Amino acid sequence: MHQKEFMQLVNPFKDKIFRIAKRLLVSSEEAEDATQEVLVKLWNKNESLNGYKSIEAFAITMTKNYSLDQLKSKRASNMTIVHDNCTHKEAGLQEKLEDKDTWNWVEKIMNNLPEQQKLIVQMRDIEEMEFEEIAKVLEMNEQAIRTALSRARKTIRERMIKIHHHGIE
Amino acid sequence: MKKLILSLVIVLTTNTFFAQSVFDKFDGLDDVTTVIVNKKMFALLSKMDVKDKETQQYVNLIKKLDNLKVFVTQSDKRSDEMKAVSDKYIKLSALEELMRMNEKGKSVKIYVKSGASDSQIKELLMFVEGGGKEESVLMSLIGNFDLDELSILTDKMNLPGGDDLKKVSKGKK
Amino acid sequence: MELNKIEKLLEKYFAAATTIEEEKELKDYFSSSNVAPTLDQYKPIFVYAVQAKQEQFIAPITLKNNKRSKIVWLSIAASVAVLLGLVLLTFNQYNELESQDLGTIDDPNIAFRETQKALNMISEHVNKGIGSVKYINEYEQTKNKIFK
Repeated sequence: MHQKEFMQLVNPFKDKIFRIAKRLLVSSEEAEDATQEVLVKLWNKNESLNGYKSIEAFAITMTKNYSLDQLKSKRASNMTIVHDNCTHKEAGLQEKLEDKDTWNWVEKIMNNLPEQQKLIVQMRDIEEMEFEEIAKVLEMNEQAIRTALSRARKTIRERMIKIHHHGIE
Repeated sequence: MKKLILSLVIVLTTNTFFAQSVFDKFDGLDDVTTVIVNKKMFALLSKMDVKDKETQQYVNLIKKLDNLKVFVTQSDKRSDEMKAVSDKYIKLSALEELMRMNEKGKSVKIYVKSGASDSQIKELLMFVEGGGKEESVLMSLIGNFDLDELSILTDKMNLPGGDDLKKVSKGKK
Repeated sequence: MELNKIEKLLEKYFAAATTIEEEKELKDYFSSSNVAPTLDQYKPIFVYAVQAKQEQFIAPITLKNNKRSKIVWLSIAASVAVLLGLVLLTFNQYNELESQDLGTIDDPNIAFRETQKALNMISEHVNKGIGSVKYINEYEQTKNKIFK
């Protein structure tokens, strides 16, 4: 497979895996590194990629695993994860919100969710993946995913309401 | 890394190529007298049967020689060329100046490359620059010989300093 | 969209019972300028979800395989260069010995004489240089005699 072919293959989902990595790793730099790693690994697999039904799902799984491993080794070495709230590489930032601050709060709340819930919210609410896909990546059954998702969404709602009532505007 | 290897190769090849070709251009010129004696000839000479001691000393030294090149010219132009070429060659081969002299308008310079010990010589280059009417001589001698062995050849001609030879050899260390 | 419908969807949403289509509807609603004041608090959640999806991976991708083969090629080129150098070196030395054969002189007798001449020349000059050392010596001795 030539590089061009490969690039065409991964282009549709490279942003997705970056965002997922960033959700777990928080830092943009680390998320970039993770994405690079995953893409390189995929490239090295080359011909054997043809055996996969969904390369995207495979890539996402790799990203999840790699990112979680990174977190594990960081905890082991007592490193602190850099909170990268300030640098947003979003294209076309359109402020539909009255209050920019509350938008940031959503991100903070999401980042504070437990790992599994964090991933599910990311994959469903942001990446708009089907439960079937999510189930494959996380190796959970769909019901368990829905339960976790419901819990996560409610948590976000509760915390958002708390902030709202505290009048942080 | 690539550049290092490349330059190394260039230096190696240039060194060997240079050694061959740089003086050879004088060979065959009309205004230059050339004498070149190669290893093969030296091998033949070293097997020569000689009767007298004097000649034997020459043969002894000849056995240790690989190559001799002598270029003699009256032409100023050639002389300058020889000087330029030998200067380049000295730098490239990192020859050390053994001595230089100036007498009667003639300048004599001798350069050597030492061998295993300080008095052992692997290569000798001599350039005699005769100004004007005098002839210029460019001589290259390659082998593995001692300074003493050279000096002793003309010692019998009673030139001053033969006794101090040993002092010099030791002093060179 | 009617407030009623939205409220029902929201209920389903928090129960994780909505489809992706329905979730898109919610996102569209909350991104618009017609959000009912009572639902204001949910706005950031859905707007954020839309915004977050925009984030792109921009950094350039370097595929390691290339680097690896580059290193392989480099070392091959390097070893070829070195080999070439060595081959040329030995070839040259071999050449020197074989070609040119005897030199400019064929007759050993003449060769000997010429060699003698050359060696003598060098020898003379070397000795002249050495001779000056003797003079220095004499000076030293004389000096010592006077200044002892």
